[in-house]
Amino acid sequence: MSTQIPSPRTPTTAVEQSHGDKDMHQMNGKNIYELNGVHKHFGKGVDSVHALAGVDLDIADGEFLAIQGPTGQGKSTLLLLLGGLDRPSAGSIRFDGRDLATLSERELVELRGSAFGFVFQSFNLIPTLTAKENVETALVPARTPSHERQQRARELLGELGLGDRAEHLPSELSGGQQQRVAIARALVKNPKVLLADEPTGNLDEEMRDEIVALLERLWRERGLTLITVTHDSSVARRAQRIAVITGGRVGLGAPQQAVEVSADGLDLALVAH
Amino acid sequence: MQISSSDVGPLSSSQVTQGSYFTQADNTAKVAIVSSSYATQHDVKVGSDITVASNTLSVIGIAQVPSGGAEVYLPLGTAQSLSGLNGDVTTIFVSASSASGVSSLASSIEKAVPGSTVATSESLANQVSGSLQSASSLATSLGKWVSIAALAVAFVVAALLMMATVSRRVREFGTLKAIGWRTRRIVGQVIGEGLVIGITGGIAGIVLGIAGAEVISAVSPSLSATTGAPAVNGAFASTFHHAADAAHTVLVHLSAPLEGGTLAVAVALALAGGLIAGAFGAWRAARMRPAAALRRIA
Repeated sequence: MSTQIPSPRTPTTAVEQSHGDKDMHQMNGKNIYELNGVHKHFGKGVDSVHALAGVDLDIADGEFLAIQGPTGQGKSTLLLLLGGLDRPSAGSIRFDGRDLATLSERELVELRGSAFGFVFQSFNLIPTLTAKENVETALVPARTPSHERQQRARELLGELGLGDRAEHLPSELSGGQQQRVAIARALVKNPKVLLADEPTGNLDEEMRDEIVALLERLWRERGLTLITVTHDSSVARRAQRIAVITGGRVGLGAPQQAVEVSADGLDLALVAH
Repeated sequence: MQISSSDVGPLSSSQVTQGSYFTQADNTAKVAIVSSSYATQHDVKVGSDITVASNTLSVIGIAQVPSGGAEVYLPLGTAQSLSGLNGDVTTIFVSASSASGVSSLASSIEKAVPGSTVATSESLANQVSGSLQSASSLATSLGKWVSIAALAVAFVVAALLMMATVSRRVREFGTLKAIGWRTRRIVGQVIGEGLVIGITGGIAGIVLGIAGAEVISAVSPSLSATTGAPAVNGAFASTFHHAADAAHTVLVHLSAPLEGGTLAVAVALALAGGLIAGAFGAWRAARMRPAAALRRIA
């Protein structure tokens, strides 16, 4: 099946054309994100680093988007902006109709506690808490009662195959198991968007396939919007669309064009906006 | 020493335990009385000869002399002859017939012998007790300042440890902010943890402190200090107290008294140090944008 990318923007590249045979069942034509002229720079004066230089990007509700690009080109910066963890220097990031750039800190905190789930490359589990307690931390901001927190954490860990590891500390779990705990922590609050920053970056090949398959299953089953930053082409190929960042700008491509991206260059022939 | 008055002076006849005290005939004789410690050290017995200023003297007696006293006692005439100071005396012991007349007698002597220093048993006693008071005051002050230093160290160490712990947790705070925790909640969490750790540490510290104090009390090491009769020129002693009686041995038992107030202040300060430093560090870390906190450890 060949389907036009449900982006409201006029395709700007030759490769922005198709999702290949990807299942588009989730995308309902509505954009959950609309980014316009997003800039982000760090530092001041001559030392200023322009991480993002005018990014325009729409992301459909229920889409699985992979963000690729060489190291230091702004992939993670874009992901942090999408998750309300940072604010753009200029431009707007509309999420569900609300501009993340102008929301108050309190509103951003509420969104982070309800709408966004984060998965990090190095898992970022709290080492002194058990797997179940780590998952529970995501329900604390919503003031979920303790017994309900425990029940939901236990159920989700069971669903992710970690029912017998719930009371283990992160140090007692393998890398793949730790990442599954982190995924459970991200999903236990039923977010609209799951943002993953190199979720397989610290895993071996077998674990990587397991985690990618899990993320894809959860995306399908839960109707999530899944946005993942990855260097790994085998991960990117599973996405519906690829956004490639070079020089602080975004180009869009189909998953077949995913390549191994190294720090010193990018072979994907995309034309930036 | 002058022989005529055997009850007054640096050595009385009653102190001689072996042999005999000087007689009037001994005033210029080459005889000596030695202290028991000297006799032991030099293997001297009654009848032995000792050499003083190239002169051989015969030991006629051995006396119990308090620590700090002389080792060899000679008749005044013999001592003057050996030292080439015929007719000179350095110390005169005077006894008063009544304790109430000591002060006026001392004044009279000072007037009669200009340039002399008159010491009464009362002034000697005051010197000794003054020294003991100074020592006691020093010990008390030292204890107080050591306690204050210990409390300050407890406060600073608790604060530094908490700051270090918090600074290592920036990543954790960034993660918690990423999943929706407010700064206030993170700071509250750190304060809560600090309270639990502080109370646990405080209890452990009190238990260890009590155990240590018990050990010190059980062993009870002691220090002793002896204050002897000071050698003063123109010394004066009343009838009622030989100068040697002014010698006191002070025994100080080392102990570790437990004071509830100090314990409470120590625990409170350690807690306060940990809480203030922890809360401040957590507040600073949690105020960072989550992206910055996450980047710092990336």
